[in-house]
Amino acid sequence: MSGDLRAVLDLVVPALRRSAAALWQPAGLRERYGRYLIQMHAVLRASVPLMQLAALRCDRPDPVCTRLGEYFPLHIKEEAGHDEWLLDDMATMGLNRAELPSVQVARLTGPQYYWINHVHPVALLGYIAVLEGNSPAPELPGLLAERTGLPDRAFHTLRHHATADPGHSEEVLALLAELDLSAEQRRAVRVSALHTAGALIDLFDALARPERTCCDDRG
Amino acid sequence: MTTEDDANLRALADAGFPTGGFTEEQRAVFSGLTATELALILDIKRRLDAVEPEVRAHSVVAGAALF
Repeated sequence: MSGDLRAVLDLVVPALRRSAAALWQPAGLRERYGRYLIQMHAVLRASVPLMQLAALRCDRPDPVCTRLGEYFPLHIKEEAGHDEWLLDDMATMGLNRAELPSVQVARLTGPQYYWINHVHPVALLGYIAVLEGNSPAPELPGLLAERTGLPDRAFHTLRHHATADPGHSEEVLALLAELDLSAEQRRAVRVSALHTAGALIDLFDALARPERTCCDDRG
Repeated sequence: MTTEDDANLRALADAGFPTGGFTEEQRAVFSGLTATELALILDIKRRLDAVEPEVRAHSVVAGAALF
């Protein structure tokens, strides 16, 4: 199904990139980058648990689940520990994890638990496709280092994903192309992806707002 | 308003998407979208249109910084 997902995502990705771009405006960037790391840690620490849940829910006689049961464990290995990397990046700025992550993060990740449990684990591929299909540009870590004056080690996670995630994105799209999904399952993946894009825009817009209506929960 | 016969394509065109340049494959996908999917797309497009043009112009450089 990757063709229809790509077509739909092509309509919304410009808005997602616009929202992210607002984060990197020079004024107040150092403080905003710290808040971005805190929120991305809150997002990323849900990645492996979501895939573990999806793998668990794939314990059923279903050809789609059989293939997902191979994919999720492999992808869990690729993503495991990356939330800890973010904590290290944050530590260079004297930051700790959010004690209570923002409602924007809950709105982003929360529906995935519902769709995995009550619709089909394949819905999670829409979420993964959006996150990994919109990885940092290779020049972003250097640009941020220059604008913030922060040391290189504050950008370790960003730099890794600028390199690794384009390949991961192709993996999930190739998997979707391979799967013989029902019309309902295809809709579930598309809705999951579109909701994810909208929720990420909400998160980025909140981070970019100077009045800090979101994400002011430094540890 | 546009001359698109399909309701979904007409809604996308009215929102400013360049439906005239869509491939047949894209048109088939968009014609088959549910109301929920269409509403999600149009809501995101409205938010993009509300942004200053200079911010949009810089958005390609950095990527969305997700992982």
